[in-house]
Amino acid sequence: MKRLLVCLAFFVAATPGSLNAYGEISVSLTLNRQEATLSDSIQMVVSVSGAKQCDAPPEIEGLDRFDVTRGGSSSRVEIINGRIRKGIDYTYYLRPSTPGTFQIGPALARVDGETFESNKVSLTIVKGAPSPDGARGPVFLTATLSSQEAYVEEQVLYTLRLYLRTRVSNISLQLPEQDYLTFQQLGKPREYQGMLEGYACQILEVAYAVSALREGDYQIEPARMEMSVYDETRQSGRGPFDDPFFSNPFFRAGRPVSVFSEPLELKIMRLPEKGKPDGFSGLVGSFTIASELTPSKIRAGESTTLTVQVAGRGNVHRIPDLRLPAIDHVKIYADQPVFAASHDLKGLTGSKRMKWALVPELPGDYEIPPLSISFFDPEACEYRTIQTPGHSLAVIPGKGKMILVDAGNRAPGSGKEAVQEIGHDILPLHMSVRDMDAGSWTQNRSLFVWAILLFPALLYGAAFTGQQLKRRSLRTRPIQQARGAARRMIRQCRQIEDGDPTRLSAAVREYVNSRFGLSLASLTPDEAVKILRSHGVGFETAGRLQNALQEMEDAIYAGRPRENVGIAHALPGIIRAIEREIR
Amino acid sequence: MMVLPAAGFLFVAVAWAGTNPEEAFFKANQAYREGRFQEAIAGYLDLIRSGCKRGAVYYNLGNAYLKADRLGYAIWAYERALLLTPRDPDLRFNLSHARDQTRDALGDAGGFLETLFFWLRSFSLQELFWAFAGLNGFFWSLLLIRLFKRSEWVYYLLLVFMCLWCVAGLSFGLQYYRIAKDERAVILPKEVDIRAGPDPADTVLFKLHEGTVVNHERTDDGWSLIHVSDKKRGWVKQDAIACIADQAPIPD
Repeated sequence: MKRLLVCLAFFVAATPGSLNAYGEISVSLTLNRQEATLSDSIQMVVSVSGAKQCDAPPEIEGLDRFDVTRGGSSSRVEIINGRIRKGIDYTYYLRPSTPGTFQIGPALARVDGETFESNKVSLTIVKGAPSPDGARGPVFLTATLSSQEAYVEEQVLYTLRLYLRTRVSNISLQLPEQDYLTFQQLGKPREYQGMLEGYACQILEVAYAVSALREGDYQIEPARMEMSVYDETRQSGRGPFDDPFFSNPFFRAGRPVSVFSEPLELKIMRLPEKGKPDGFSGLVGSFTIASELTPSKIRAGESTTLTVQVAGRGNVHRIPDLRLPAIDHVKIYADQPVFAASHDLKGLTGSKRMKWALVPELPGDYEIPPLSISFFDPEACEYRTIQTPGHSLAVIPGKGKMILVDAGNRAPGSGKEAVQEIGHDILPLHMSVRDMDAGSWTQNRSLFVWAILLFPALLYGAAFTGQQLKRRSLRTRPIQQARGAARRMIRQCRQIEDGDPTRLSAAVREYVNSRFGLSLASLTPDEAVKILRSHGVGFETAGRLQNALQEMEDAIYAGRPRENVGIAHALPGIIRAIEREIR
Repeated sequence: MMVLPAAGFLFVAVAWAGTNPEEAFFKANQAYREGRFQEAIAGYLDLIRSGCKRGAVYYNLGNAYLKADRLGYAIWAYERALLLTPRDPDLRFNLSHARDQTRDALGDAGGFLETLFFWLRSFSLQELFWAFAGLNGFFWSLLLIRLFKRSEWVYYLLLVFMCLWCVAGLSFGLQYYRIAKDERAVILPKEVDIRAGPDPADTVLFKLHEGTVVNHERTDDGWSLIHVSDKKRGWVKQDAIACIADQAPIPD
């Protein structure tokens, strides 16, 4: 700590003097090696001397064929012969993608608006050959197969081990891809300590079950792991920051590294035809079968359960659903099989549990037939068939009345043979035009539908309305006749142009009869006044009609029938006045 | 003799569709009988798209699909035929045969209305319409008679026909509602992933296989939300299902 304070004091003291001590600005580009393999990571440093900082990170040419990762920047201060010179270093890590010789540079750095150019360097990339064990670096990857030869769908263990002698982080794995080869990871990666070439190292192991769908010779390409490596040698010098706290990877930029495993060869053989059982399901591995019948003694009509479990190691997804053959007088109800798969360090394991509910209809002793399954055993290189033991079921008479559902292929009670189903197929086409007409619906014919539905109701409505109108008409006929009387009266007055008092008198009488619903044979002027007054007609208007009638009577009885033309003209006005005043 | 009015109707359809549906029907049938099932399917689909939506055409289409090993499409066609000709015994047999070949075990989604109005499954919408139309005519005719002749027998007859009229009207309305709001759809591919969301990156909840009838809820951006039970619902690509409802598009 004391040493750290001394260094800080030195920097504080030296800083004012450095303000005029930048000197000439120069840029240099260096690589930590001139030749590397495709799996190597090359460190490149661009050093800008004489400047405290750059306007922007340097631009470097010739990096098209490299995957570039920035490693950060660091400032430095050099004191040579009492002169202080500052600078800044930009670190990059290059990962080549293709072999060849490449010119890298120049790096262009801009300081205070001025551009400075660095030197160029040459880098040769060669194809990486598998290193001999002795030449392996601090990080390397190995791949192994549990067997070089296998059968189709047989499991082979593919194990990747990453050996670490230094700290790494951000590990990612890229598995090889191969048609007809499937990789299934077996659990999480394991991490343990081991010894290699006398040195303690950390080993990261991950295993896969590999199986091939087709026979052939497969070349398994190398697996690739990428990670960030924290080089222990970089912190070897004891400086002011030589503290375990600062050795934490959080404070250091890792160097990206890719490591490759060895390519492997795997020969896949097809399953032998010799001894292949009929209906072989393709099951390859090692399997067992077990069965249980509980209870084994029941009453007729009750149920018992037959449980069969097939378990083992191999391509367990190929375990078939077993079919229990029909048993006379026993109804069989199959349950949905339950499949479970898991894995361990040796490969995939799994089991399938199948259940049947058996309901015997008649008492007696029943033999449950054994169920068998075939698989190919790659270790013994032969097909094997395993089967459940047969079970006996004792059935005693039931408590209630038994119902015979189906007595084999005999129809119950008839002695005739029941119809057996031999094949499955669909019934033929509908060919005729009549078939085609069936089942058509009146889509988009809403008007037609509504017309059909509403027509009877409309018909009824029309009849009902007509009836009501007719009744109303009978009730209002007198009123209608009364209202028509005035029109007829006026019309008659116009027709009687010669003013015949006899005809006018008759017209007035007819008007009064019609208007007020009377049937008078004769009408005197006084009677007319009484009638009109009783219906609300004013005294004056009633008097006018009285006078008119009086004049007509005078003319008729005085023998001057042609002298009352003026009355004919006056009468329409009187009638209209009467109509207005009637209540 | 019954062929003549049917043929007359078809002649009207000819002018409407611009093709001869009777001839197209026979050609498709011929292709089926000669084992050219894809050609038969195309023929029946053309007929349906031209508006000739008959029970027999859908039935034959279902047969052709089944022969072409397209179980999901076959069940879709049979289900549509069942809406039009629900009592066709051949259709029921073939649909049962097709359903036996499906992989997913799902319960029958019969609702309360289907239980109460159990006869709805046995009658087509057309039959229920004509039954209701006939009873409607009788009902209003009796009312008309009663308008002019108020006798006792007309009164009791009117009561009977009013009950029948109500039942027939309700049945027709419910059947119309059932068909118009039919949410059922059929899974078309051999196997589809039902996902938690309308995106290929979403989690696969479960798988369904061709021919399984599901309930379609809605469609968003090429994905359909379906359910087969309260606990089994999720999203599937829209083109992986075909809706049974008559107004739904015909799957390619």
